[in-house]
Amino acid sequence: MARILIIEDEPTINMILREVLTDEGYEVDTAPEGRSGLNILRGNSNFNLVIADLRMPDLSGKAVVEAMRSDANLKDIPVIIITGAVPDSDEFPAPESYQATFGKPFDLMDILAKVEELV
Amino acid sequence: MKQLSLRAKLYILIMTVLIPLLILQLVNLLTRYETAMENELQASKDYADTLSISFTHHFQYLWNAELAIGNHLINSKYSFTPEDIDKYLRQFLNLHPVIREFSWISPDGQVIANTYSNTAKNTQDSDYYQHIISGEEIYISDLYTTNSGELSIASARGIKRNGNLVGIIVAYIDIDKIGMLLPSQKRNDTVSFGLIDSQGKIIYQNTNLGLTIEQRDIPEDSPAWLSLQGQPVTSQDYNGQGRIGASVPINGFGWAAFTTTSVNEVLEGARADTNRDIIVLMLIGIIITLVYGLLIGDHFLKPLMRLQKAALAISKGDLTARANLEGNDELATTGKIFDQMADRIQHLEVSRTRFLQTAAHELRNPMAGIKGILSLILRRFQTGKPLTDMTNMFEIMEREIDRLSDLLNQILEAFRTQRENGMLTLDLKRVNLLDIIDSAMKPFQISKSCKLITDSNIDKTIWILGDFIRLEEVFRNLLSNAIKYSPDDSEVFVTVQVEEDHALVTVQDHGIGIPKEQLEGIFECFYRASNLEKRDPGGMGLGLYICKEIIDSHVGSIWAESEEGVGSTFYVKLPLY
Repeated sequence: MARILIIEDEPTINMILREVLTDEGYEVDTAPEGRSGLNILRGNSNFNLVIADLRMPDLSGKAVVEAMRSDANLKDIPVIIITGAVPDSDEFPAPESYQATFGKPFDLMDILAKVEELV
Repeated sequence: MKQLSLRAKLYILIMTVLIPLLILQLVNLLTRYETAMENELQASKDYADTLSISFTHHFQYLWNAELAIGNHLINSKYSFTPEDIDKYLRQFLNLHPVIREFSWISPDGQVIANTYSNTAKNTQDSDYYQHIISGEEIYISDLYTTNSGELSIASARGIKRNGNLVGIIVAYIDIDKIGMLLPSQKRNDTVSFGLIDSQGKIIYQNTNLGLTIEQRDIPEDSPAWLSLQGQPVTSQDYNGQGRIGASVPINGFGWAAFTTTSVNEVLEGARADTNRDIIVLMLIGIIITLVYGLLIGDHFLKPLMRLQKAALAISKGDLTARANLEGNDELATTGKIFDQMADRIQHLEVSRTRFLQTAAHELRNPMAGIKGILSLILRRFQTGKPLTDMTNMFEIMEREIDRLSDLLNQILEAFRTQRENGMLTLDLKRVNLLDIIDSAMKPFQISKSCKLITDSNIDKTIWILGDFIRLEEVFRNLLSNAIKYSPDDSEVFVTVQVEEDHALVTVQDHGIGIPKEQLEGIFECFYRASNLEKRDPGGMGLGLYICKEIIDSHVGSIWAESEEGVGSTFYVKLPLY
C-alpha cells in the first residue's frame, strides 16, 4: 500500500490528514516539522508521497523540498504543499519541484483526489 | 511679500543693507554742499577784495596821470589856448581805453577845453565841481547820465599851484570798459562781478553791459548796501535768485565791489561726486546682491529643495525617500527630523503589512483545523466508517474556535495599540524611571514563584521623557515573560544603570532561554518560540512586538541576549531628560 509522509506543525491539521488518509487505506507517517521529516525520509525512502506545510519553525517546507530534490533517493517522490502563504511568495520552492498546492483552509476531498492521482 | 520666492526675498533683504549706505551718501552730500558753499563764500570774498584792490590801484594810476596832465597844463612856461589844451587832452585819450573824454575846467566852473565837442560850458552844478571846490583834492562821481544820454562816471582832480586851485581836470570814464580794470577769474561760467556806486547803482557788471539807468538799481535788500557803508558781506543767498556771493567796500570811494556765482554751479561738483559715489555703490551693491543672493540662496535652497523632493516622493508613495541633509543648522535639523519621521512611517507601513499578512496566516490554521475535522466526520459518515473519537474531535474543534476568537481579540488589540502608537499619542511627561519600574514590579513581588532583586547604584530619581503607563506596560511584559519562562525558585534580576545620556534597564532570568536563530525575530508580530508548548494560550506572541513599538516611540532601544537552557536578558535603553 502506498506510503505517505505528512510534515505539518499544526497538530490538528496533522491529525486530520492522518485520519482521512488512513481511512482510505494509506500508510501514513507524520512529522511535526521539517528537520524530523527529512530525517524520516532519509531513513526510509519508500515513501510514495510527501504532504508538507511551508511555514514551519525549524526547517521550512521550501528547504525540505529543495533537500529532497538534491537527494538522489528522494528526488522523484511527489510533493503536495499545503499552506496559508500567498501563492507567489518566496516561501514556495521552485514551481517544478512540487506537484500540487492547496491553501488553508483546504477542501479535504480535493486533497484526497490529488493524492490518489499522484500515488 | 508672501508671493515672492525665497530667493527674491533674499535679494530684497540684501538690498535693504544698501539703504543705510545710501542714507550715508546723502548725508555726505549735504556735508559736501556745506563745504562747497563755505569755500565759495571765501573765494567770493577774496575775489571781491581783489576787485577792490585792483580797481583802486588802477584809479591811482589814473589820478596820477590826471595830476601830471593838470600840472602840465598849469605850467606857467606854456601858454595854452583852449585849442592847444584840446589837442593836448586828446593825446591822452589813448592813455587808457577806459577814458572816454577829458575836460579842463576853470576854478569857477567854466569848461575851458574838452575832448568832446559838446558845449556844456558850465559845470557849476555838477557834483564833482562842488566837491573839488569844497576842498577835496580828488573826487569820483557816482553814475550819472551825460547830456548826450550816455552813462558815465567822472573822475575829477583839483590842480593847485602854491596851494591855490588853478584848474580841475576831469576824466570821463566809459563804464562799459571798466571791466578792463578788473581781474577776471574764470572759475566757472556763471561768475558775475562788478562795481556799485554809493547810490546803489551798478556801475559795471560783467554779465550785463547794456542796462539802462533805471535797471541799474540794486535791490533794497541787497547785501551790497552794507558794503556801501563800509562792511564786507558774504551771503549764501545773495539776491534770492540762487546765487552765492560777496561784496566788499572799495575804500575811499564809498563804492562796493561784488561777485556772485550760481549756487547750482557751486554745488554741481559736490552733486557730481555724490552721484558718482552712489552709482558705484549701487553697482557694487547689485553685484554683491547677485553673488551673495546666488551663493546664500543656494545654500538655503538646496537643502530645502531636497526636503521638498523627499516629501513629494513620500506623498506619492515612495516611503524610502529621505532628505539626508548634513549640517547642524535649523534646516539640517528639520531634515533629520523629517528623515526620522519618514523612517517611522515606513516602519509602520512595513510592520502593518507584515502584521496583516501574519494575522491572516495565523487565522487560517484554526479555520483549516475546524473545517478539516468537519470534512473528516462527514467523509466517515458518508463512507460508512465508524465515527470514533468524536468527543476528542469536538473538543479539538471547540479549542480551535477559542483560538480563533483569541486571535481576533489580539488582532483588534494590536490594531488599537498600533494605531495609537502609530499616531504617537503618547502622554509624554517628565517621569522618574525608577517609579515606573517600581510600579511594574508590584504585582510580581507578592507572588511567591519568583524573587525580584533590584540592583541599582544610583539614587532616587532618573528623569526621562515618557508615558508612564505605556512604559509600565513594557516592563510588566518583560517581567511577566521572565517569570513565566523560568523555574519557580529561580530569581529574576532587574538592574538599572545610568550612562552619560541614557539609562539602561536589564531584566535577566535563568529560564529556558531563546534559540539563537530566533533571537532577532522575537520582537516581530506573532512570534512564538518553537520550544514553547504549541497549545499555550498565554503565548500570544504579540507582547514583545508592542513593547518594541512603545520603546521605539520613546526614541529608545530594546533587545535581548539569550542562551538556551541558561537564561535570557532583556535590555531597554531610554534617553535621559
